[in-house]
Amino acid sequence: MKNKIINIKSRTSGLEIMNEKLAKLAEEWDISKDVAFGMNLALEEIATNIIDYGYKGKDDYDIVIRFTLEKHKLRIQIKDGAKEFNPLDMKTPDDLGKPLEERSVGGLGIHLVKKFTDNFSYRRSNNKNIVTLTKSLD
Amino acid sequence: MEITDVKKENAIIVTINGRIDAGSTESADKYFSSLINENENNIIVDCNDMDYINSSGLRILIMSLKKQVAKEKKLLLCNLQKNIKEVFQFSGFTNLFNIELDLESAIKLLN
Repeated sequence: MKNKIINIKSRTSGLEIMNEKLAKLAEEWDISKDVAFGMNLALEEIATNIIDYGYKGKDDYDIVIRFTLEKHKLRIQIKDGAKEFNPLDMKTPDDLGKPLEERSVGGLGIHLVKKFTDNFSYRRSNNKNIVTLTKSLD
Repeated sequence: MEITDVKKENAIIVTINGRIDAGSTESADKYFSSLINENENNIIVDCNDMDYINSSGLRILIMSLKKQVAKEKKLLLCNLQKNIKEVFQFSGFTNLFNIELDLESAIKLLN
């Protein structure tokens, strides 16, 4: 098992650092392009939600991300100190099959997290929000 | 991310190179807004070298499509990479957008 922990600030430059770290790790850990793509998407959606809804756009808070390579899966844990916020409670789109006029322009983020991960969970512990994403490497 | 465009007779061909991610959605948003506000043309987005798109990027595309449709103009996509195609399928975008296999067939469709 391998771990890598990074600490980013709640701002766009933090997300950029996060994306670069994930790309680098994927190379180091020999993770396929497809898995790296899906996990990047999922991670970006979760971290963006933390910044926008948890920290309400305030740019000097911390988000701690732990990447864990297990035997057959990649696990990413995202921890923040914002008020209680469960991304799984967010509304997911109910208009996916609808024509353009009836489609809203947003709200796809959490739906995509579910699609690109095998497991997506949330817990509140010691005043922290902890989201865990896993993806099989088989 | 890099965006370039070239005007052909019946469309503006927009080429996206790289990633539409947290670091580039703002400039992609500005680019598409002004492109559509300042032009009355059909648009083809060539995604051959677009490696990644997040949900903010999807939002930019669907907003652009809505604006084009309101002007009775087309917005076509072509050359989608496998992972991008999957994102589009999961998002229900394959029913909304005209997605062509390559640039040639996208241009042909507009003729």
